Amino acid sequence: MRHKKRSLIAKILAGLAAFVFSLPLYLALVNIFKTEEQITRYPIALPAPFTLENIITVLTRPDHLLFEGLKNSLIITVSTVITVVFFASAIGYYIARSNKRYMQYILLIFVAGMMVPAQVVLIPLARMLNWLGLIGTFQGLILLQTGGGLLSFAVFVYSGFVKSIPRELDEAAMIDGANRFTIFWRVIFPLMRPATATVVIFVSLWTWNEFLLPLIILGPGEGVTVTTGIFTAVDNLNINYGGAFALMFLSALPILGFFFSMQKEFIAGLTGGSIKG
Amino acid sequence: MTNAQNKSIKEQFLTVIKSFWKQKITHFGLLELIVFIGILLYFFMTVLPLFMAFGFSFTNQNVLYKTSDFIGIANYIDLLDDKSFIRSLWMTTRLSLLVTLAANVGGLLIALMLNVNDRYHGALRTIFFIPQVLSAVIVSFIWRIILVDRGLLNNFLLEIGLIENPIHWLGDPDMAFRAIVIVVTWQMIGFCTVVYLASLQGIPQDLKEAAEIDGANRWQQFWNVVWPLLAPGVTINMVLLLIMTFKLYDQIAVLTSGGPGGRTETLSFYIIRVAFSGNQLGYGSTMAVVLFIATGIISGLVVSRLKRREIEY
Repeated sequence: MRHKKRSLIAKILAGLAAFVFSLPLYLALVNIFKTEEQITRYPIALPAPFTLENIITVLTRPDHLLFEGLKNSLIITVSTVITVVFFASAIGYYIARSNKRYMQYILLIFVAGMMVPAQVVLIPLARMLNWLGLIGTFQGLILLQTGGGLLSFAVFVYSGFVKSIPRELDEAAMIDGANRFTIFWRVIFPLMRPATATVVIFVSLWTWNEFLLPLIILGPGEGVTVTTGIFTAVDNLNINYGGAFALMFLSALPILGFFFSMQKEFIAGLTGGSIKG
Repeated sequence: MTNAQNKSIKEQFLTVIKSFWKQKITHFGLLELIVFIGILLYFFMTVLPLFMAFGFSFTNQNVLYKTSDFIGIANYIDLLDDKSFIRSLWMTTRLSLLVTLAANVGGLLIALMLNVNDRYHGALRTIFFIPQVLSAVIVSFIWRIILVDRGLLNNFLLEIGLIENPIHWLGDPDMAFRAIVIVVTWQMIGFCTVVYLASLQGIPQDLKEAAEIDGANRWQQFWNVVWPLLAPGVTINMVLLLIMTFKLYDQIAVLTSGGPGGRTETLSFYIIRVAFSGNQLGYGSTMAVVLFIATGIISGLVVSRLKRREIEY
């Protein structure tokens, strides 16, 4: 009996904590459907009357900010993910299977890259990309993102995972006459699905939400992503609250949808590394 | 030796050479090529720029000048006199420590509270994790709209008559700092919670039950059984939070733009401002190098201290 009561109180407390925690989210959501005047006077109340005006305004903007942003972010994210997965899986596999001493040092160099703050490399890279004529282009941005911390993270994940795939598989395929790339592509890569899932999820999330890199490399106004678009659109002096919330909500829908559909893999990827350390 | 044997030795020799080179070339196949290109990419996008930044820090590179001169450690010496740098370094350190602590403690408490595997608690876990899925820009704008002078919070407080004049949550330097701490903690708590939950669920129930049988109350169970076994999770959360908060940029750019008067500039924000708005690539690189070294030292220290606590079981 005591346990039942205690767990009920615990449940209520937990619910209360979650409620308080989610208030900013509630505010961001509820104020989308209110008129500006209503928002100013009754910030917390439910919409009365319910209006879709803010959403419609965002969707029908003459500069198509939302759609441009979503489209660009999608292109950049998908390209980055594919490139990272392609290279990191190959590198991770090669390093994990290699017998050479220097490959372990290379792995260390990759992992150390995860610690490098973007600001350190941004300054020389901005110069370099400018010199190559790639500043302000998607290719430049993708190149930069692929070659950095994301690659380090992915190589780390893949090389760790490959160790759990028995070498006998490699050897069996080699006896069958396959060359190394075929072994990798047809035998090993399909087996690395959990690692690929982890990499895809986190690289997608980090790239989609990336702000500083697109800001500096693409420059303001030159092909906006979802993040830089919001930043330049929400006027600092005279924020139209309803419109701002609407823009943010619509921009976040894709990533939220992605998250909810892959919740299990998200959490699994996050915790997979943490327990084994 | 007969002619036939001579020939065969020559032929044998040639075939050996040929097969040797064939081996070398086939050993460098498509896979090796991909790996090579990948490593090259990493080299040019991360390793080389790192060295370049280090090199830049000894020059007075500026976007507006055509050439740059080597000025030795002049930049580094200037740093010591740079009030904004010192202030941002101090501010970033305080911010990082506070947020790391708050997010870890909060994350652990929430993890303990939600360590029940049913749909209700699963839904609550999702709520705490959503800020992690949203971009820092969105999270910061939501809070900005709430906290700005004519924002939702002030409007609400004015409406119910609690205050007469708007409170400068983001306008006053001290308030703004606390606001930033709260916003960043709010976003990071979900991360800590997930890691701690995973660690908690890895602890076998029998250990806790054995302690209970031995007469330990719930606090003792936690302190003596659960807490030591959480050590790996603590290490990860501490290190990652410290690193992530030390290079904070997005939230500052949105919430305060470093204001008022540059009092809430983090190190990253100051670096970007100096290098890209102020065009001082050399000086900016100097600070970036300092940021990098500081991050490295912090991670190294924390990891080595915390790793010792971890128990293998």
